[in-house]
Amino acid sequence: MRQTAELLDRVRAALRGRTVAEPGLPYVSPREPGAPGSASERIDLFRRKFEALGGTFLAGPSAESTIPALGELLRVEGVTALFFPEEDPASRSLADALVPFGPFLLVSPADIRQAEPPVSAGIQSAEFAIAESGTIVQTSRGGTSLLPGLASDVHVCLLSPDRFLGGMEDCLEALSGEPPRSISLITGPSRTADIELTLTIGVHGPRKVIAVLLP
Amino acid sequence: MEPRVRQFFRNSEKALADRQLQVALSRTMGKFLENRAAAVAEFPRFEGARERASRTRQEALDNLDAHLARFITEARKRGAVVHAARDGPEAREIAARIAREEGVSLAVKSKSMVAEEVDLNGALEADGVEVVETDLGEYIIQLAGEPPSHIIAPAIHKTREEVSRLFEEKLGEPYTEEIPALTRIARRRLRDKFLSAQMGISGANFLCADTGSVVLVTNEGNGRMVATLPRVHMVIAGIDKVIPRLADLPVLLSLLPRSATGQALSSYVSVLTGTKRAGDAEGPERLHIILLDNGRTGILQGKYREILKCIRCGACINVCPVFQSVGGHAYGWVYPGPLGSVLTPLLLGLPESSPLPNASTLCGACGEVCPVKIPLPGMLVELRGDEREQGLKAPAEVLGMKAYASVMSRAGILEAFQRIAGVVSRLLFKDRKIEWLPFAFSGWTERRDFPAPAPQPFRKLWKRQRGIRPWTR
Amino acid sequence: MAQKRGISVSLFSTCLADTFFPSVCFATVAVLERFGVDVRVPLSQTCCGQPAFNSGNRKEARRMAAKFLSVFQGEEHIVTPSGSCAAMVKHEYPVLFRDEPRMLSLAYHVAGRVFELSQFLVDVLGVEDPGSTYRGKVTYHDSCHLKRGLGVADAPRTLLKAIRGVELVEMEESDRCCGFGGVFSVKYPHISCRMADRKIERILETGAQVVTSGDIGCLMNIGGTISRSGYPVRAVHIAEILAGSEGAVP
Repeated sequence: MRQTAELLDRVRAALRGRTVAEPGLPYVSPREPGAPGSASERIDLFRRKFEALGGTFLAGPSAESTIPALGELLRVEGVTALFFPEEDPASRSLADALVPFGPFLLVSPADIRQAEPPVSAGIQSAEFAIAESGTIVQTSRGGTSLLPGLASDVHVCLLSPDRFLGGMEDCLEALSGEPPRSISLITGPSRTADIELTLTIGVHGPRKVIAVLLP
Repeated sequence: MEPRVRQFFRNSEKALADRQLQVALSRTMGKFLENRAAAVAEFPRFEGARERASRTRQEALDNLDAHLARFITEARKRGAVVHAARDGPEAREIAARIAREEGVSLAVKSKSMVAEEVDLNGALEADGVEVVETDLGEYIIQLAGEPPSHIIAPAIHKTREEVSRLFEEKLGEPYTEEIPALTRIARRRLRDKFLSAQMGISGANFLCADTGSVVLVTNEGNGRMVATLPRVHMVIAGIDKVIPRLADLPVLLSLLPRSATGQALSSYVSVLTGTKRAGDAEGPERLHIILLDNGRTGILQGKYREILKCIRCGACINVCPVFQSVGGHAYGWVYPGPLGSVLTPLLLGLPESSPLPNASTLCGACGEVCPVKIPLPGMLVELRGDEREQGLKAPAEVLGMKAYASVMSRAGILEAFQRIAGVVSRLLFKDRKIEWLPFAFSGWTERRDFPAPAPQPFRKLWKRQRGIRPWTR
Repeated sequence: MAQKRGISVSLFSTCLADTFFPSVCFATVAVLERFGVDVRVPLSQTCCGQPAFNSGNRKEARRMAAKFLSVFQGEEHIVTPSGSCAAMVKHEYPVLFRDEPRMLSLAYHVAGRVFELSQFLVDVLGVEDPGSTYRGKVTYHDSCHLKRGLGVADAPRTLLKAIRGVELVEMEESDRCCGFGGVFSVKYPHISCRMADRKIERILETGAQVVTSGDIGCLMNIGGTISRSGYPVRAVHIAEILAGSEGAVP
């Protein structure tokens, strides 16, 4: 406590005689005009941005109708195991329905936390999607695990149509109030360009992101 | 990191002669600029965003006392232990104590420039803690035992061939020049470190005062990993990282990735607030935030306060033609390019770092690309002025400038010198060029010709042409 | 040619042009007179103080700046064939005199009246065609202070393109610094030459016979390197191309 008190004293001393706005007159950056108005416009924009990042967007008349395509995608990526957060019924039922299309093994998150895990897909409901950047938003609210988007090879996100927001400002507003422990804004797969600035996909995170639009 | 800034001249000579480095630079610097240009072109509101971001950052600094106090309070409310380190030694001592008290033997680390400033890894390693860098570029240079050469892409100075040899030598991996394969090697090797480490260490891209949140921006995902999987999360950040409110993030994030790598948004933005709560699936049980001063309050006080607006995008570094020629290591410390040329003298003092403000042609490219409008070229000139005032300039230069000003103080004196120069020129330099200049000026004529003074200066010819008496127009 | 009566210009010759390249000053006068401008040359001028200012020797810079301001105060238009000298007066004089209110207001007053040559021709006189003849494949180097300092990049190109006989070709990285930087060129000559080499590579890639620019420092750096290495390119100041009078003095 003493060190932080001293730090604040030093900062105050450095700012003494300031000629600028006193606290209480903050500069608040004006809000950017938001992305398109209707939900379907936002979904369209999200889809375009998301696909430009290498994501695959699946939509169908029902959740079941997307399953064969999803199963095929996962097989192509070499996925052999699926996991999902315990308390997420939508991902659970999707995972169950996917099993025969692999065939895939259902594993628990603990199984993924080993040193040599199977090639896995982490399935989970996303909290929001941000249209203007093709971003998926996951928070730790309600005991939601981050692992599906953290420790898998393929991240499968379930989105409902009423969860598509225009821009990042909308997202922060929607999350206003006490922030959860973790807010994750996920824009595309894990990537690096640290060697010769050459892009490589899939470093410490999924190499593919798939969004499934629930009806 | 031990400074080698005074040796900039020698460092840069070596850099120019270093073939591997020149190959690496030629393979990468163009891409940085192309990517940034494309991202700016597809963002029509870029200039408006720059102005807004500049004001936001300025406001944060002008009221840093209030915002910093608020950050500390809000972070503590949510379970963080907040420490303040006056300088490097204090930061090292705090970090080592935390590791000891938390029983840490293995730590995984996501890139942090302030950690380099204070050599945080060294402090922990001296205490028997294994620290593993997880950012691919940092992992590479950790294996190589080298400091970073760039703030965004720390291993940019290494060619793929060098990385392959390094992995072969240090990890016993089969030699491969294929970049995806090299990346997979790193991913595999680091995975079990993530899972078994007791502590994750990171910097912070931003610290939000209104919520006490730590914001991490990465492309690889290692930021989230180190901040979620281990039991302890240690954050070290400069006090200049504080932003007033979470709502300031969008404008800053609209500029940072575009300026750095040409992306509209980085792959992972994590807003982390406090420790694991009852009902959370994962999260660190212990969160330590070390706020580092290390000279920043000194900068805050003075005419260079604006440099603290920096959001560490690296655009100024990428666009600098001097950096493009010599790379980052020549600058001798943590921060290269124009950012380093201003920040290093301010943190280490001018006597320790006087080459840097002079290692620039003042071309202005850096000031043009800075997303928060820091007047970098003006600061470089200002620092050169400070050097003169602090008596750090070579006596020959000061004398030379005084002589120059004296000659230029009266047209009559200038003309007298021009007359002499004209005569000498007519006699010695018949082909109108000088191939050798003495003293400090020999640097010019090593590889370039210098023009010989005109036999008669313009003013004399003009007077003759226009029939002008010396004292009329 | 359109006659613009009543415009008088004070020529700011620059210490470099005055001493080393009088032909550049004569060319500048010739172009201005071609458009009916009355050109006067204050003979008590010496140097704007840029070398001292840029190297942090502010005391000497202030001395030279004060002299400059006393020579040119009261002049309606001050035109110079140097982007960096114009930028010095316009942008840095107010910085130099920030603590001296009287000098500061004089500095602002004069700053508003300083122009680089191509800027003056196009933006003030409205000239689109310099009316000269010049033959050759020409490439244009954007000097840092002219482009970034004064925002002038289109005017020189507008004028060059209009000259019959000139084939203007753009080089890659036309606005990348050539490595001159004043004192930098002798303090860090190895880096300076590396930057000049890269600029010359870009010039040679265009196949141009002439590289031109609005700054003498750049042309000395590029031209000096070319001269030593013997490349088949000439470095010519834009004023001389606009006047069609390369190298000529009366």
